[in-house]
Amino acid sequence: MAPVPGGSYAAFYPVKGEAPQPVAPFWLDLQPVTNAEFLAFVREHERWRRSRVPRLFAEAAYLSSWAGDLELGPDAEPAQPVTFVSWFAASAYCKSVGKRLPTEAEWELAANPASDDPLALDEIARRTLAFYARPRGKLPRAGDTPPNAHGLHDLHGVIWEWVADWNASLALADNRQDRDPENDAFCGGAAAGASDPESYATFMRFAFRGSLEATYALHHLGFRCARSTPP
Amino acid sequence: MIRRSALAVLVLGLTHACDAETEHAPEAHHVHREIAGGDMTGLSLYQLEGDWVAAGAESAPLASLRGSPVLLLLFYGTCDYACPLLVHDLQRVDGLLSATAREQVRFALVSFDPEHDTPERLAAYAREQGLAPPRWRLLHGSPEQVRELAATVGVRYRPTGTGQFSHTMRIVLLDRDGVPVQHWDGLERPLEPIAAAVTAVAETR
Repeated sequence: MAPVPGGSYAAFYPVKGEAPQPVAPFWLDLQPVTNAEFLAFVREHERWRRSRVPRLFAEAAYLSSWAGDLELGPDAEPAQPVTFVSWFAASAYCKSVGKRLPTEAEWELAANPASDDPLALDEIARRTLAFYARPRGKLPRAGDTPPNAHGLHDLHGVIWEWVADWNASLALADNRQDRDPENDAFCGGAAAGASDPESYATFMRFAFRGSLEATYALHHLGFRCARSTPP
Repeated sequence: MIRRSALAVLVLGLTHACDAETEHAPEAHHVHREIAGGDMTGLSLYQLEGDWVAAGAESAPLASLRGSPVLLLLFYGTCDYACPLLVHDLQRVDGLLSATAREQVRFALVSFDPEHDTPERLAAYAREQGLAPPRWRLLHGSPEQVRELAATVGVRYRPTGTGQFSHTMRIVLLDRDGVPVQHWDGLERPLEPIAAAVTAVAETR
């Protein structure tokens, strides 16, 4: 794991009156959790095997790239990030290793370290957008992409990642208290910041989290774990 | 097998957000129709682990609601607009139930502000609002437990940093096994369909 300094996180689309929130320093996995690691987890915890998991906790596509309950097979290499995992399963895995999922604020802080190199940021944003636009094809091995300033790999352009509070996104969409013209900006929001690839990539993540349900198991959705205290 | 690309989900999500924004007529959604016969679905909320504490202090696992039709609402005590209206709606639904249904139904109110809504404060809130146990159960759990419960019933919420929350306004009906069978979103929706759905669960054995 790598330490990530705390900071202040302003939601991409703040609700009315929402202040930037302080984020305490934390530790984050260097790379996404792999198939091999998740296999070890389901070996030990039967209820998280593909054939055992209750529908409340994972939809039918859960671990569907694996060949069997305890067999990865040709479509899931041990070193690739595990995907087709629900939020419940991701949380349970992190708990089993004494960690937790990062919050959205933590993930975004870790993934967007302050940099004085706008060209590098622009390059990351373009790579990210290329992935978000077409999240297809074979996953690289976890840790294959260059580390960012915190030493963290694969935060951009490889997979989407679960966060602990994904269901805080878009809460405003159905809250009448927040019905005001600013919301129209969100609905027209595909255009928001489109001239700025970096904020557009952030918008894509925000919108993606807003579209999730806790049981979803998707081809390019994986996770990594965090801790509040040193490992 | 259903395979959705992340992008398809994304697009659906955006559409949903905009629909929610322009939609004025609240809708009832049938989540699941199986009412009797044990949880054959694997969808019972009573699989959620964790210790909940009822208003007052006693321990109250969710599964202790098993056997009763339950109307579930996530709310918070200092909410000054939507939550009081929703609680009032539940009280009005109660008044519309058949005698059989009224006898059986339980109202579960779970706070997504556990830091502020301690069991003591929940008990005070229940007294102020006339939400008497055992029919009304106000529940306190850890932030993680609340996030999980909310996730299972599609409730989204977000602290705004000012003591308030932005949140989904959703009333969820659970069958006797804790399986969500129907939910209703928004405010100012007709209450008779909710009462009818509760009565249907209560009168099914």
